[in-house]
Amino acid sequence: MAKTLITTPFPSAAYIAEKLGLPSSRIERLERLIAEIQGESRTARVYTVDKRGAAAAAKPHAAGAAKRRAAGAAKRRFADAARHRAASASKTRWVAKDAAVAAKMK
Amino acid sequence: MATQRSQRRKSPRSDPYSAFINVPYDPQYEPLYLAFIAGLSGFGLLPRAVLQIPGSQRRLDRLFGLIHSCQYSFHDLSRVELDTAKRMPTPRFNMPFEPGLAVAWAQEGDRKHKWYVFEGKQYRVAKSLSDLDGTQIYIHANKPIGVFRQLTNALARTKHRPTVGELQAVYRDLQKAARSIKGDFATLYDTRPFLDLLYVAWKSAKKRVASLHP
Repeated sequence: MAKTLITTPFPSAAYIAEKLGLPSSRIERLERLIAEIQGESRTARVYTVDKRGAAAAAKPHAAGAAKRRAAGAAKRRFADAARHRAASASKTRWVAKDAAVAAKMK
Repeated sequence: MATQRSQRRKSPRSDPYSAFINVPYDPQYEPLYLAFIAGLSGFGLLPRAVLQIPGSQRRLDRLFGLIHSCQYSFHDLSRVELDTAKRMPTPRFNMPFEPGLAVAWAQEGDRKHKWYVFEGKQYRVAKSLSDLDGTQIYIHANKPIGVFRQLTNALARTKHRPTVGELQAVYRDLQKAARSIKGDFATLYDTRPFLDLLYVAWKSAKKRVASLHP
């Protein structure tokens, strides 16, 4: 089936204002909302392209989140190392104990 | 016959920008409702709906007046189904009744009036409304992207043709704005939220349709 061809130009701001009859205060509020939304999506695009670094630079709260993530990772690394050290120290103790028992038995 | 002709001449001229949308007004339908608004705005049309006209006029008069004033009408029959009432489950007859009015108007009133029927599932209209056999039914699969694809199948512009991707970008803006608008009015299905959505969609389309920028 053939498509319907729309030949009218894209509606102008004057036409929309006349047809919708929105008060100027409401239009201002909607303009702010649109600016906010389109600003957000711009930031989201930056986030997708440059990953965390660019998003952290663009958004202060993202920078905070990145810092928190880094701190959490460091904490986890430190805890793992401590656990590893404790395990190896206990192993050493047991090895020494076993050697002492073996020496006595000789 | 002469009277009929004079009546036809007297009928108000339809607005070449206005597109009547006949969709269900229920919360589950909101994504498709927003998709129709975003899609039509992307094509440079101004969606219009019954809920836009407050007043004491009889609903049928409002409906007919609105169809007369629009050059296009889009009818979504995807929710023609039995409701969940336990006592007396009833199908929603409003939805197929309205394309009936539009078809009559296109045949007898304004030959320029173009009407389109949308459905969620293939072959369902053939079963539920076989009078439309031979008519192109646009299947959107109950998804916003389906609405955009079908709108681009149905419509074309001489200038500033939007792509499906651009329509999706308008939809995303509208979806975000709808959350805030719903916060103000508690619903999207009322005169004022509808007008707000139209403004946001138009503004977003101006920004998102690439060819509109020099």
